Amino acid sequence: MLELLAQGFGLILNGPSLTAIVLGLLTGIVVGALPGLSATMAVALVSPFTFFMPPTIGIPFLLGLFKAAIYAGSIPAITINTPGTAASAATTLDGHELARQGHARKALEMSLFASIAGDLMGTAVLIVLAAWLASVALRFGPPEFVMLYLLAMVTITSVSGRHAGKALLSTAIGLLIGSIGLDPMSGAQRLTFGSVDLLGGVTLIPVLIGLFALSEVLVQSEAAWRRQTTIVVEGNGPGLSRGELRQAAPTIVRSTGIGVAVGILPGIGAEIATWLAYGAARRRSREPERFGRGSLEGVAASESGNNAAVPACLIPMTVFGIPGDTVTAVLIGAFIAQGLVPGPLLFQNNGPLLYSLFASLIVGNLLLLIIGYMGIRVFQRITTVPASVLYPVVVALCLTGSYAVNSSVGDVGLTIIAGVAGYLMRAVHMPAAPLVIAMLVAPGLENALRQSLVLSGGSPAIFLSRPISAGLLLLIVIGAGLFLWRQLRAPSPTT
Amino acid sequence: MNTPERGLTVRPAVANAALGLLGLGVGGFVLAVLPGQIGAPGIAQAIDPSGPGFFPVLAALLSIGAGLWCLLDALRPDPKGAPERLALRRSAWVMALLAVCGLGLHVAGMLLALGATTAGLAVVFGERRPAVLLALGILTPLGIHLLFERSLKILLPGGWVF
Repeated sequence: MLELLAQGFGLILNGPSLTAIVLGLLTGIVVGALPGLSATMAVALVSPFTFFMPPTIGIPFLLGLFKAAIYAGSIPAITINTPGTAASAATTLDGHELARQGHARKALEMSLFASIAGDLMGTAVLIVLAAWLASVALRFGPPEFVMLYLLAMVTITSVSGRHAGKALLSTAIGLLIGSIGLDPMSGAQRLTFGSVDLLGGVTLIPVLIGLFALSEVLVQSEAAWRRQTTIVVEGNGPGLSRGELRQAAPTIVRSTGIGVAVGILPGIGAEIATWLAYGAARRRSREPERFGRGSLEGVAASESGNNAAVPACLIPMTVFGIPGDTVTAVLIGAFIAQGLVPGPLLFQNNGPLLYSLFASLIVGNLLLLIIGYMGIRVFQRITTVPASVLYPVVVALCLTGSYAVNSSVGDVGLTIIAGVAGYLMRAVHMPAAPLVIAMLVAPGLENALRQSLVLSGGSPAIFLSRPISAGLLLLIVIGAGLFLWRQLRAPSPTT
Repeated sequence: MNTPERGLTVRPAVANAALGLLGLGVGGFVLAVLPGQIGAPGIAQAIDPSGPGFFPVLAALLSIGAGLWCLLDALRPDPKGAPERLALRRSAWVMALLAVCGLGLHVAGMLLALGATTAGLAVVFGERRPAVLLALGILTPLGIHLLFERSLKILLPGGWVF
């Protein structure tokens, strides 16, 4: 592992790769600092560009964008009480209060240091755990993969809010969309209706761009922006002291552990990690009454939790080919486009290249520390870009990016349709994440399911007779049972 | 902070009912057309685990089940408080512009279509300064041309006009 990591550093420590990482970080900071632009949206939008770059340039760019966007969501959370990304929602509770009290600089610096610390520790876990898990996963057969895919779908469905029926419907539609095209085993055409464009299935990236980026533009077109006065950092108190940072260290470590644990579970992601970490920090704090009233600990907890989930999400993605969250769902597409097929064989067949990407995460953290610290005064001004300029440009990039995937005008139409569908889904509280993840795992799930049933002569007992499969099935049953029980006990979901 | 503007009101029961019908419709449609597409005499044959119809049939059944769940939710009393608002004023304009852009690609070419769309969207988002609209309409396609066609060597579609 260390030898592979050393080779990885050797591949990444060159001008073009470092430039790509820096550009990715800067792009991610801009995206994260702008409310209404999410990390998923940005990665979906930008990933087609990377298909034409070598993997040691394109993928580090995307990974840098991902981590920086998650960090930079704290900037508007602190300065204008609006999280730049959903993963920074918990940071608004204490971050903006600190800014109101004249401690914006402290809050921004704590956010930066906590994010870097969480991300670095999460990356260490990724490097150590992923290789070991991959060696275990080599022993997985089709029944185990069926259970893993089902676990991912049950997990993402159960955390998609209290609208269970809608989440299930979203999953079902995603599975159906994923089935469109030629059957991988027999070559029969399914749900193509004679269209040549659909023989290869529905292209993932244009759908993602529409669902996450274009739908957000539609939402923002209806939002009446009332920006609070941006708090300027120059005149806003001293920076973070070493004592304050030392005091927050236990919180950062604990929140990192929560972030990593959440990130490893397929289908969850940083948005959940931040709240769990914040809640745990408040419960364990010596001054819980300060939370929500300007607690540096609160900022440290939410930011280290959400950034620790970033590398952790890459574990299920690289080892099993199952997305840890919606961003990694897009990253899977980018990996495949670069010839890196996620799964246990990725470690065997592309070890040095894969470890170069892990090395880029470490390098990216160090660069983010420098860029973030130097740029604190500048980045908070990003929040002042007018919506009337920003969103039209985002739309133009969406449509062109969709075209660029396959040089297909049909994909542009697909993006527009997905964008409108995504907007209507949000209007009726139908979550999009289950649809995306189901669409992504459908081919793998179908393959594994059919292989399992062929192996067993059509008997589903194969899922019970193998210990790992049976264990995962038990987890699925428990998870689904808890979810259904909560649904039946809960009052009608409020709008 | 963002606040949603006024728009159409959609009762949760109506939304749930619509989604329920969608789930039933999608699932039923797939069960109806799939056997013919894969050459199976009927659904019973299509569900053979080694055949191409197995997985889509399972997904269709899940869709039907989810649709029934949504219909059951529609029977629950509406929650207290303001009904859901489906804002459609500006977003309808955005959708219309996107549709025109998509249809107009073949006629105007991608760069021209994007320039016009960008300027139009800026108007929808509240921009009224002619200089800014003109700059967006020219600089956006120019930037895309430089990025995609010059840097990434991706040829964008032309049209009859340009």
